[in-house]
Amino acid sequence: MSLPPKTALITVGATAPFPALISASLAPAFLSTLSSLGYTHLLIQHGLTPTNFGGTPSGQSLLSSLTNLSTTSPLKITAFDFTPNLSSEIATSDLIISHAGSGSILEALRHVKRLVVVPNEDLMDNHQKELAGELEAQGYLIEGRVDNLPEAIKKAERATFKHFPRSGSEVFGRIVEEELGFEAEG
Amino acid sequence: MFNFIIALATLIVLSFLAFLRLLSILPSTNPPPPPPPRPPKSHTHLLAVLGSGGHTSEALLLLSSLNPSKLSYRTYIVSSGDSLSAQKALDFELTRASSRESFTIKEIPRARKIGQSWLSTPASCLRCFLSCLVAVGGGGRGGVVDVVVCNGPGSAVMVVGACLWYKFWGAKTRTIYVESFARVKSLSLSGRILYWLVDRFIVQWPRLKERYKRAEYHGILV
Repeated sequence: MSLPPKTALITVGATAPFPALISASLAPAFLSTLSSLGYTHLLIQHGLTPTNFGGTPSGQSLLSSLTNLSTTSPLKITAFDFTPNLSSEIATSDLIISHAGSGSILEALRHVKRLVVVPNEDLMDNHQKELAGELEAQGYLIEGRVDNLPEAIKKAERATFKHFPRSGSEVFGRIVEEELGFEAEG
Repeated sequence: MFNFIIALATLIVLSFLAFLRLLSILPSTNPPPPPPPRPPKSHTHLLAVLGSGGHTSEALLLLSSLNPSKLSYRTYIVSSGDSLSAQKALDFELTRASSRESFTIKEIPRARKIGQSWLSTPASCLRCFLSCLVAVGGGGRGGVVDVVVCNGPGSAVMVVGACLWYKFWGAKTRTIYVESFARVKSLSLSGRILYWLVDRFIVQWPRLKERYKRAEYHGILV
């Protein structure tokens, strides 16, 4: 009997590499938790290229473990550095584990996905943590850490998330028209 | 000696007048009156400042509901070397099936590159400011731009500075700043500077509105 496909996506975005999250997502405990929750596929957008990681030994070994993925896990794992249409990968996934960049968070919330956000503690100006914390407090996502990913995804699997409001760009459009001096319509 | 005194007095009076003029155009000291009504279908020119990564995505989300029939021309400002933002702006316009003649993407030199020596910074700042002046001047499309939208990249400060220059001389350009959705409790550096300088200062989290009196909150706009 084959299981229905169920996909988890890990994304670190395009701005800064986040090797700690990638290492955590290759940890056996995390992979077995994913399988136990019924996941069959894991996509990893790791953003690591031979150049952007400065050729550090840890980066090299991480990159080679991504390219020679062990087959011990029942999950089908696909890793890639970047993709021009992450949006469609998000749309077809069931669970998103993301860095705390506002663009990635918005994208996942607008697709109404189970979402775990992991702030990158190595970033200097860590207002990202504020955003993740606030959105978790409002019930839109689960905030995770690289050292508690299995617990975080279990929590996300059980949670009932609130629907995120749709874009208020029409409101903004009206503000621009106001500033241009156009009369409000209607 | 007498001539010198006259020259000095003139200088003092002129600086004082310039100072008064500056105060009168600064929205924080003098809330701007509503803009004069504009006849429907008149020519309008919007300038949007794009900046790396998240800022560009947010700016384009903000602009996604603008009525193209009310904004006949758009200028996008990107910092030199930020080809990703330029590409996103181009894709944004092309998916809206805009005509290639109704928008332009302008690259401006950076005020300061990462790692640039502080000695050469004044010169590069000036170069950046001059190209902002050219861009805000409208590039020969019906004069100074009508409205400027920015959301946080450092170059926004330069662009708003250029707007103030034109406003000083009587231009009616309006400036709108939208703080990033990522800013929940504190303003970004650009936000803290531009808070005093733009006509509309919009935040996307209610807590910021409580902290900053001039800020407006209309929910999440991106």
